[in-house]
Amino acid sequence: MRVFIILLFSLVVASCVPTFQLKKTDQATTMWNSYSVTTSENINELKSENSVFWTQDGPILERIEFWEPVSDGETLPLAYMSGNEAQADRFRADMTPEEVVELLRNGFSLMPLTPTFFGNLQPMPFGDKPGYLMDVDLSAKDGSDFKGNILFTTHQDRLMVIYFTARETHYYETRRPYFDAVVQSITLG
Amino acid sequence: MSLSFVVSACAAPGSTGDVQPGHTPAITSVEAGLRMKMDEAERSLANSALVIQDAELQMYLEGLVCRLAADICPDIRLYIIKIPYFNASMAPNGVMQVWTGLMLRVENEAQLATVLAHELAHYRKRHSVKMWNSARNTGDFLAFFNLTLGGVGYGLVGAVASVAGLGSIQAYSRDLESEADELGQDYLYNAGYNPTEAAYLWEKIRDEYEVGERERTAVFFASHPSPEDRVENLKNRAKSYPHHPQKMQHSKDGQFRKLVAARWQGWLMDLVDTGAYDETLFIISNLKNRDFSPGALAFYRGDVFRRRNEDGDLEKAKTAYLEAAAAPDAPAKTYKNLGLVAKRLKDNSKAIEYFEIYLARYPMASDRFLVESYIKQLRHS
Repeated sequence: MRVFIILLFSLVVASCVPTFQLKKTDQATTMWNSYSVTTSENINELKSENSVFWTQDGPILERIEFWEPVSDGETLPLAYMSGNEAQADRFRADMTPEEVVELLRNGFSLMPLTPTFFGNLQPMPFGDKPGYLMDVDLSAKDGSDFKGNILFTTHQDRLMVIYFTARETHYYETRRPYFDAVVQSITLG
Repeated sequence: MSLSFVVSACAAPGSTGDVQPGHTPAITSVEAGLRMKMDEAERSLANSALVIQDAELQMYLEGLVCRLAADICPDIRLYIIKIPYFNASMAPNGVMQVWTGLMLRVENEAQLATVLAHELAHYRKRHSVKMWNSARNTGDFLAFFNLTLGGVGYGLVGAVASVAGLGSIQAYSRDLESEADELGQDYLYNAGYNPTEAAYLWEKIRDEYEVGERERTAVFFASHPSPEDRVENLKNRAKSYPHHPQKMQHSKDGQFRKLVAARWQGWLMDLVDTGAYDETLFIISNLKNRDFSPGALAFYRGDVFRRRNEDGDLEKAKTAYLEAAAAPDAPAKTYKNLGLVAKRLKDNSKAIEYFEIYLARYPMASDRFLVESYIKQLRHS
């Protein structure tokens, strides 16, 4: 009976645990049939419906998210708080970079985290396309602070976003070079 | 959460009477356990970017707390939180949160005092401890944590949205809210404010919620007294107070207004970001009635229409921005945003004209490279 309970418990736990896959150093990955990126170190990959996460120390501490490209009329693929979905703005293919920043601010404002800083928008290539990079600070209601960066471009009328976020203490500075390396590796398909 | 079960299983309920100044609960009590949990949360909150470091506003709010409840004010630690929703909260360890969305909505010091007094009443009456005991009896641990600790304190609005459907704790919460309303109104009156302001405030908040999302409104009122009952009760109670000079009613309104006037634009921008466009227009209308900067208000009305993007909104945005542009207090980005609207309306020559006006007026603008790229793009299209 005890063995059965342990087995049952293990199955229940296993069914709840997200499945990570190991990506080896220098392995290229095609994201959403749109662009490819190469990891400069062994990294854990987690896939969800609209995002692919790469993390070394766990997604709560640090992660890079590759969002499924957003088409005209769609909302951003974020985990909105219940009841907030209706307030999410929609992407337009003719948005200027600053209007994309407003769209991102709106999306992040509807999540459990609160944006405390969004800015320093600057040009940054997304593969061989002109793109933009910005700084993002977010805080949880319990006071936990996160820092991050968003790289985006509009390609073939779709918004491409790569989002890096990490706990402000220790993890952001430590993992930022890896994010920069990922950005340098982008090749548009 | 594991701590909570230990607290639940082992700790004595402790005192449920009024909190006394400087009170330290017995280490084995529920209250001590809750305070320990809140102390832990406070350590995280205190260093967060969510907390606005604004010495002038901080001093003003702390002074107001002390006018309302002088005896317990040394036990209160107040934090101004950068969240654009209407809320304040009170934790059993004396941590009071005042959200910027509250500051944006109250119309005078008496209404602000209404909310702070309501929170002080929660603290005085140990409502967190009572809620905990109620949750322990009904098994609604999760509801308790969502309602009280999840929002880091006993919230006026707080994390209420997450407890939809948990009936028993909501009903109990409504009773405690009513008690806090009434005791808070007593504090307001005793401090020399007009006690009717409490009812006026709730009327305004009810009106704002009615123009917004009905679903959120329904959840909010599930754990709070109905707005009609609340307003009616506070109005009737206000009539029952003996007449006495309301020496504080307007004495500090000048200071209140000056503080808000210097900060409301940042608070409003945070609200616009949430996409609560109808509520934002309601608040802009209220600020206009209070004679805040008309050019800036027209600008933010333009921002709401530009970002809401419903039929006819671009024309409304253009009208609002032009109104702002004609005012001496127009924000710097007025012509730039006019250009963005003209660009979307496919009026390229106007868009270029507006962008060039913006650059001529603000040659050192940090977004110059972007605006120049828009002009270049428009010239080649």
